[in-house]
Amino acid sequence: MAFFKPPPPPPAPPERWRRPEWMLPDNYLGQPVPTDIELARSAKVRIVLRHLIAYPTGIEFQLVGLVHPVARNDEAVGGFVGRPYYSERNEDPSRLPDGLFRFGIEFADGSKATTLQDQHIAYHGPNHPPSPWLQPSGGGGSSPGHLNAGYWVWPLPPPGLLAFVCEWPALGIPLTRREIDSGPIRAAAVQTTPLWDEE
Amino acid sequence: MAFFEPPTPQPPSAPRQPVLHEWDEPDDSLGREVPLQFVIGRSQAATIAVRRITAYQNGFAFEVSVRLLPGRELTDPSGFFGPRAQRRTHNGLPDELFRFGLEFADGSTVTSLQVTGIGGPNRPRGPILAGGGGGGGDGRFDMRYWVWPLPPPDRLTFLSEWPAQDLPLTRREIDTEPIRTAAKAPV
Repeated sequence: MAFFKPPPPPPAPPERWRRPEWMLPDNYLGQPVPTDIELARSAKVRIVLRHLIAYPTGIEFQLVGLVHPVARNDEAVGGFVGRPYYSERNEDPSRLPDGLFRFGIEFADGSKATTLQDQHIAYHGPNHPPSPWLQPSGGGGSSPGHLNAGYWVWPLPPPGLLAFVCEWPALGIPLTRREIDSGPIRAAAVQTTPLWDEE
Repeated sequence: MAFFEPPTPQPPSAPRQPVLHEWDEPDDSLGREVPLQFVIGRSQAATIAVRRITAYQNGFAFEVSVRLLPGRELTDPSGFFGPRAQRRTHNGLPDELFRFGLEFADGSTVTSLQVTGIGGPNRPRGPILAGGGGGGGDGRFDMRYWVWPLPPPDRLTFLSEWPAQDLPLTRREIDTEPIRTAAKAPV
């Protein structure tokens, strides 16, 4: 029996984690779709939807807001980036606080998603989150008075109208709905090419 | 008399209003979207793109998006970008440092090694690049910048270089007309 024996072969590397289809893909830059639409306006704030980018599996966009100087110290401005404010500050869970900015999308088939959905459910269990899925993808304030919130929506909206809905009572925004044709989004989505092939 | 005395209450101060200059990003406008997106540098390991351009009357904002091939993820993102990386430049630029810059048609330039803060008191002598906030991870980073002033007519060149990711100095020219047109549109 040999004194020096070759070591056993190393274990096989773990299978590389694959990004699920419902998450913002990292191997595409996507294709921009001209948008820049005013979603809502009041005496205290103006909210615009822009920088919509189409991917094969969904869309990404930003909501940007400009707060009037008289309202910039309003505590409710902190409610623009959703649910944490709601869960920590809401004293009456049976109603939504006026300071909470609510935002949602609705597909042409009637299915919808909002910022009030529980984000944790997407990360538990092997299945997809509910479809459609609306997920925050960064944001905050870039300068005094400016608001910025990014969102990712899975999947790509079906043909027909795509609705964006928001409401922010404390800043004077009633329930407001804007609709756009999903056609240009779907056309842009097929133009985008992967940066690399997934193994 | 207690050993630890609470501090004397201070009178409340008025909210600080930053003084904005003509070279700062405006706080009274949302600007206009410029639906342009283009790659400014690409290697086998990394793709660098400019996206989400917003034009204002006095300048423009944009994002630099970095995407790294799986397996090339950065264990320490501050090594490729940010203050820590820039402090190590006394022995020349480290290969790990990603750098980019802009060149206007009149020959004036500014680079990511000259990023300034917001609200500097003195009028800059040339274009400025401010900001650099953003984030990411897992090979995906997006950083936002503000450029003053608006680029003059004709071309605007974006340059990038990242030796550690096999990206040589690369130039990408664009026409400034879409930016200048959006800057003039009502907001």
